[in-house]
Amino acid sequence: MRHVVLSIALLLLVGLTAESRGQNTLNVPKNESQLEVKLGDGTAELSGAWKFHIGDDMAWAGRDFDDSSWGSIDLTPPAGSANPELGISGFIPGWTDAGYPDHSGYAWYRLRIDVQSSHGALAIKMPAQVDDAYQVYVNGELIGEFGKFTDRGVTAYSTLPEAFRLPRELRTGPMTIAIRMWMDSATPFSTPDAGGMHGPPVLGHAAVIGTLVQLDWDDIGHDIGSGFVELLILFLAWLIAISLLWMDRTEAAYLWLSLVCAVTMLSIGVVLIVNFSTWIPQVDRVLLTDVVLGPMRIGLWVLFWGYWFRVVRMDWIQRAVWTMVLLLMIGTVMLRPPLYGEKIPVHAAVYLSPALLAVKLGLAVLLCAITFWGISKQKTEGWLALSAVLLVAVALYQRELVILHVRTSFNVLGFNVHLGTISTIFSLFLITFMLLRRFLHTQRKREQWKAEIEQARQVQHVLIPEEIPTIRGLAIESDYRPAREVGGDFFQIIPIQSDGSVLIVVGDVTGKGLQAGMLVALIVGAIRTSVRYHTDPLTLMDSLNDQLCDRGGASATCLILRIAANGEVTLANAGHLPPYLNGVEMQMEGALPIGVIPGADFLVMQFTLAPADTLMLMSDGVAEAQDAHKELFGFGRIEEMLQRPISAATLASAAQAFGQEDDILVLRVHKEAQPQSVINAGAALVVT
Amino acid sequence: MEAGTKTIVDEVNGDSGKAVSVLRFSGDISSSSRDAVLGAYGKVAKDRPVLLDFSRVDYINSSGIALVIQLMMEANKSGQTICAFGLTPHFQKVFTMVGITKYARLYPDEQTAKATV
Repeated sequence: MRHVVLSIALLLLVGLTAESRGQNTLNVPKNESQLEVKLGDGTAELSGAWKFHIGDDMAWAGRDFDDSSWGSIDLTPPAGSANPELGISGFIPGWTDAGYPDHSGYAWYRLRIDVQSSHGALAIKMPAQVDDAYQVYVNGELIGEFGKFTDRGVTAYSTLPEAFRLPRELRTGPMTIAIRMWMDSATPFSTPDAGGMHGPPVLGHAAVIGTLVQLDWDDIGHDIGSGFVELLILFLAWLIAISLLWMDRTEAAYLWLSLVCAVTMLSIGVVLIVNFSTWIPQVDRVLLTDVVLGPMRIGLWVLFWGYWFRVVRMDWIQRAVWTMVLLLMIGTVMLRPPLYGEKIPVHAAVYLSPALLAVKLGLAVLLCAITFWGISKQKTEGWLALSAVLLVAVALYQRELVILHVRTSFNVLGFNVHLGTISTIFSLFLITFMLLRRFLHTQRKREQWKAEIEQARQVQHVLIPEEIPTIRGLAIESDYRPAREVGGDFFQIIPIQSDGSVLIVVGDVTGKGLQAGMLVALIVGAIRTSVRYHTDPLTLMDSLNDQLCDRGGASATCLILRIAANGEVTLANAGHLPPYLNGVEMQMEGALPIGVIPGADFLVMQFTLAPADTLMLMSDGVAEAQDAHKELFGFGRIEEMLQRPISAATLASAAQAFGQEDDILVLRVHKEAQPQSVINAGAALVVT
Repeated sequence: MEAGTKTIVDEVNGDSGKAVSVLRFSGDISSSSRDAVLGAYGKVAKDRPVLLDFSRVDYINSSGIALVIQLMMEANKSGQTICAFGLTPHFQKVFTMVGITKYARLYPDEQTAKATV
């Protein structure tokens, strides 16, 4: 604010002085090489013909060097474009348009002036547009430079407002201004009519020149100030995307949007930095924004929309996008400093530029295809996203729109705003809205899903009540540890009142979770129904097999035992792990699980449980528990543990602690030496 | 953490000189391996024996076993010979338990399997 007030005050001073004296800014050429400059309290634009020579020789900085044999370049601004009081002028073509079309590297400008100044220290303000770095000498003395001139070469930066004070003793009289200019070999290919100064320097009293420099900074602020707004909105969008990703890591679109925002922020940040400082050299800026971040930004947007529309073949899209991004990077780096014009011949642009445009448009075609696919699949949500996609496309292909004569720059409240900035801001508003909408929708679905799982779990609990019936002569204990809320293992203990026997059914359906749980419900229902008519294990197994085969797509391993009151056991097996009798696995031939083929043959074996015998039945979740190194709990550990009497819970706990992968079920049936229990007819099923 | 299943379909000659298709599985075989198991089998010629290579398979759960059984059933319907090799002793036992050995022979390695087809 202080600067603005100061600027206005000084400008008024300059303006009033100019009016009162009629002419305090005068630039009349005395002859071809000398300019007479009368300075009142203001400034003088050093326009007109400057001596010019390509090449480099430090002797050219000298005051008395004879430059009469040099050529000249006219730094007179186009008619009506100059404002000497503000120190600005219209664009003056550089040396490539003034007879030196192929020259890059060093060149010198020289001008002799005769200054008639009333008072005060003098300063010289350099033009706002310069290619690319320079040193300013007055009477052979270096008074300032822009860029870094070292023995290893010159480092150039994006042009910034610069002014240099003349030595204190130089206030009036003849002076020689020599400007040593250096231009990168690639600059002519990115800037039309490049080469040297594109406006005349301005000489004046230091205080006024200081104000003009402030005005130049204001100009820059108005020109790219909208970048700060874009940066802020990008940061907010990034914050939202990251927060949503933290809350829901299953939605890949959040991740890709956060990456898009991060890369765009970086790109805009670099542009802002180079326009306000010399932290990043011009070549590095070009490599960062044009070669790396620009192509990445396009690729990331395409991927974001791919994930947003949930395109099925994202692996293919990823490969296609990154291939095109890589091609864009390679092509762009070939057309930019330091390669272009040095390692890459100039005429290569004839085929490189169209090829690059084709690759860039290829990404646009991919984006269109993804959007078309998304709209056809997602209907309403797809159409909602269409406007955001279009805005993103406008932001990404702003340069190409210029070719179609679309206006891409607007003046809003004195600030220059680019179409790309407007598009990015509006697209981010839309996308953020869509992200939040999707997030809330997903959360609602998840809550609904959790409620359904809970209901299924409760249904399973009803099917497998948590009480074990007491069976005369048998001590039965169980331990069931589902891998998820709803388990896929099942067991039933059904006392047969007519003959005092008991039916024990153990099984494991294919899969885990809700689907497996539903299948368990089906099987348990089938067992309970069938048991009313048959109690023979093989007949029951055949019946279950038929019912599962009729259903299709469902299978389960199953073991059915009927233990008579006298200890005789009939066992039918369908692909289940055979029981362990007193710690030894019972040898049975293999058989297919139920539900695989109708009419399958299942194996039956008979044996007798003697007093104090123990049968251990379990699901494959015990043997297939896995530790962090993917080592299985295995049959060996089971046999080792069963060498001594252990409870069902001990074995189940050991497997679970090892690394539970699947549902774990262990059932222990012990034939008591002295019968103590009686059948509790009221209780039918058991689980713990 | 469950690793996905990758399947490479190879064509080799058995010791008898007969062309043999080899489905080389790697990773874990589970419910998400339908394409890797049944999809890959759908692509092999049905007029030659098929070897299933499990030597790079880390884990097969009950859903994976169900897929292998389904593959065996399909091969059995078309009268195709199926052999498996490279199974760990644990999974050899599991394959035997679920009756797969009634439809496919199990061998310790590829060489032995190739010698029999």
